[in-house]
Amino acid sequence: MCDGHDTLRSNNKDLQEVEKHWDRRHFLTKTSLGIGALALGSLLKTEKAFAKAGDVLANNDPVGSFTRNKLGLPHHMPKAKRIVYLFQSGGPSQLDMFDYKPKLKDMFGQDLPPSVRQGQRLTGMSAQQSSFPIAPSIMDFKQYGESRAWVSELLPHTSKVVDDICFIKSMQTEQINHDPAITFMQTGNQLPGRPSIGAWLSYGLGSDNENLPTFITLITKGQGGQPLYSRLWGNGFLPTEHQGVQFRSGKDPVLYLSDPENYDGNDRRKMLDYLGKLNTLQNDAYGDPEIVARMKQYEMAFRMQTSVPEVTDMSDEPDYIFDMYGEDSREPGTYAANCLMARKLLEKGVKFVQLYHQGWDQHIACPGGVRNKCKQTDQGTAALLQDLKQRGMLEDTLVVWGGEFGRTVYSQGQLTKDNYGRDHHPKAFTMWMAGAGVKKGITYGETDDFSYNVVKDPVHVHDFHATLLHLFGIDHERLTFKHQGRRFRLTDVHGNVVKDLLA
Amino acid sequence: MQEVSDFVLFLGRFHPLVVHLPIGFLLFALILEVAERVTKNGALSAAVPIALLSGAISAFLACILGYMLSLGGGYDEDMLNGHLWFGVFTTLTAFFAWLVKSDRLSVKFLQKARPNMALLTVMVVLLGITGHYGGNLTHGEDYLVKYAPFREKAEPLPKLAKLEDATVYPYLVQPVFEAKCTGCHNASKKKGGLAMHTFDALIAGGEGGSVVTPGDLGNSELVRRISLPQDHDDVMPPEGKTPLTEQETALVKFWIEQAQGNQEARLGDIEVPDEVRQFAAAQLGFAAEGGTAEGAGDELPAAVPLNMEAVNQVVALGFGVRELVDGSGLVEITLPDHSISKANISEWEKHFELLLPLKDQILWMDLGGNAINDNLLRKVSEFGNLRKLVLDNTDITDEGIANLVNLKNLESLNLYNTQVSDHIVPALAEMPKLKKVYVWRTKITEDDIKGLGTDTKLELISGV
Repeated sequence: MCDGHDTLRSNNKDLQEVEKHWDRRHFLTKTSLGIGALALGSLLKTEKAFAKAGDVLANNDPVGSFTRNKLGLPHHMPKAKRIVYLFQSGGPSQLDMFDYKPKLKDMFGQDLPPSVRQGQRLTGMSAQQSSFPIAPSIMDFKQYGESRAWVSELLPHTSKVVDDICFIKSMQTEQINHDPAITFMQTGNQLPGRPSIGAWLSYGLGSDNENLPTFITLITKGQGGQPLYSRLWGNGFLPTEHQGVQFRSGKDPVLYLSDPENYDGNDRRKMLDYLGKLNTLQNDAYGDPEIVARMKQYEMAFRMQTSVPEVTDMSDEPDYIFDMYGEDSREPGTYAANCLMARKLLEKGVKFVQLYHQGWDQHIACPGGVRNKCKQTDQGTAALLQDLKQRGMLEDTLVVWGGEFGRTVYSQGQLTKDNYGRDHHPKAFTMWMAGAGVKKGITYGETDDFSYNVVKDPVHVHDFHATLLHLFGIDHERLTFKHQGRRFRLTDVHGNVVKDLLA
Repeated sequence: MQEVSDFVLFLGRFHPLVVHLPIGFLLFALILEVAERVTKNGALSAAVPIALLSGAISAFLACILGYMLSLGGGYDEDMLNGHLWFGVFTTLTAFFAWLVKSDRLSVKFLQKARPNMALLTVMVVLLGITGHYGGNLTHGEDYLVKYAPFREKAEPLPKLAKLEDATVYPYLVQPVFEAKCTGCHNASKKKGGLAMHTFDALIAGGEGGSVVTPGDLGNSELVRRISLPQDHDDVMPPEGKTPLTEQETALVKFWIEQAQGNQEARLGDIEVPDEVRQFAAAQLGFAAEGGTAEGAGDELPAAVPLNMEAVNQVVALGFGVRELVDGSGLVEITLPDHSISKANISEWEKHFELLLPLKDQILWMDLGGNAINDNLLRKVSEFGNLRKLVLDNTDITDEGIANLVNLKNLESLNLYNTQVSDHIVPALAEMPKLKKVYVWRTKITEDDIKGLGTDTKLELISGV
């Protein structure tokens, strides 16, 4: 018998019989796939295709190692080391929160002038309406802080931290429906399949703490609303280990991390070592980078058996911290609790923490709906900002708040004195950024009197992405990945860094 | 141009490598010959034929490879011919000298004229001439004597009173070309038929026609070449050479598009984008316009290659070292929480010594969550280029902070959850660039912060 085969032979006689059959097939498969493997080798970076699994794992920079990125990153001096992205899914109403339009009060119920809409496409939900009655916000707006930023009554906590915030009132997207719009916002393209922002950052900059994933997603529990798909934190065509890891809401953030009863951690280690050997054999034979990715994931999961319980344990947080984040923060899985968890993860060196809060889709009963959503998120958001600041982390942590698009000035459905609905609106909406390298206490961009069109300093989603990468020391035009014969970027062939936002 | 196979060009590129062998061998033959005559040591003489034969053979090889290299084109015809023929003569002379020296050939009329000395001297002179031609081909004609003391310097451009007076091409664009392009595109070495050492030569273009189309970036081959991604085959300068910086590329584009790619356009006559204006101001020694105080704080120390031995040493101890900008040698040092405890702090005093070789290259340092005391902090005060220092949750006190006044570049200091008090404020105020100090959960109170007043650049940040 061939010596080289010993390693793959079982001790069991019956199994050996099976394996002989398998070998014949294996031979045929190998010879036919061999050519394919060669082609694969030239498509992928050769070091990846032909490196032994062990080497690849050894290259895996543990914390405390010297990190010099083989991609030539960062391109310039970074301002941000980490980011928390507070995604408000559904399309928050900029008209009821930030974009104050006092002139609308006198136009209550009037039809939206066609000169404003300019024949823009609407969603199927309001396109058939016979009129588009203007619905001024019933919320009370005031100016706050030294920066005199306009904020509505719905956000009493955010209004206290406006001097740390950079409001962008002139955001624009190309998508009018949730799924393409949120995919566009998170991956730079409306079609599924591209890597998410966090995956790009993980690929480009690597990890600051090898015991935790570089990119973690937290979703507020029990919100319903528009669905979220894992592709929003997916790796697309980037190596698999760069995808975001979703921590579940509730007391067990990562399933199956704890060992079963009576199962010793040493056994787990041994099991993984043997598994590692098998995977190494497989990798040597095929050179499929997914095998290496899988091995890395197993090792990561093993380390997470200790690191995750540690970081998700809230018992060492003092009461005044819970008070800051609000009563909700004591209940795992709420937005406020996720904000607190986000801070803890960022402290531990997680580069990208992505929160999602669903349900901002107020087609009907907008005032009540937005009020409710603000109540769930306002205090946690402001507390996170304040908490990062007092720990000195805000200067190298980027905080981003925003949804996938805005909402219309006209009412979807019936308009009454104190109730209206608002449809999706991609042409103008508000987002804000704060922290690392972003100017604080400014409002950038302007919309017209209807919050319908941008009249000054538009910021396209691609521009936002370019600016975000810039803050991490990345030239968005130079962070590329070759896939299917061409190089891809987060911003594809678009995007300009909005220099006016940079401190 | 005839098609030359890649393999021939591949071999040709070995010419500069092989060519130094005959230079060494043949010179050494002359040295041996002279040494023999001076010392009268006959044994030395025996080595001369070996040196000559090695020299001759390697010279022959260099000739073949050199010819292959020349097929790639782009060289000044006259100079190339000179180099070629002198190289061939040198080779032949070397063979001849070997034949004579090894007594395989005797030439009657040479016998009286100390045959070996004469031949060898001629050979070395030929060698020198060949080498000179070769050097000029590679580096350009004026490379050798450019900085020579006796040489008349080209008249420098007249000093400018204000930035607006600068003519774009001679003052800004030509220096960029000289720094990045003329090494291969000059009067004697015209890669791709293009020379860039003068305006006229540039406008004349190369083998593929003109490279600059005034006012039209899309049709300017020059712009295409310098804008390609670094790993593209056609990118200029080619792989291995220093590429144009972003600002330089922007300048060239500006010159072609807005300044119409001519020699006369002045900055004052055209609308100049900020990026170009700032670059121009920096190049011509005018104070940067519109530069903010923050901008000034961003001046980084010059790039120094990292001492990898030192890096590996500290990494082995548990320090994290991350390069802040790729290739800059500037790093961030982090120490994982709880690396230093009260029990092992004496060891860490020695460990910190090992950071000293990197001390000018450390810009950010995060030691938070470790049992750093005042004594250990004294070591940190030697890292004079620090911009950001994180010391939260450590055992430092007022005394330790007093030692940090040497950190003239420090901009941000994190002292959250330490025992420091308002006594440190005067020391902090002395630090010229310090802007932010985080003092939440220290003995510094809200009143202390209010007492600081508003007329200081220093911002003390506290919390709930």
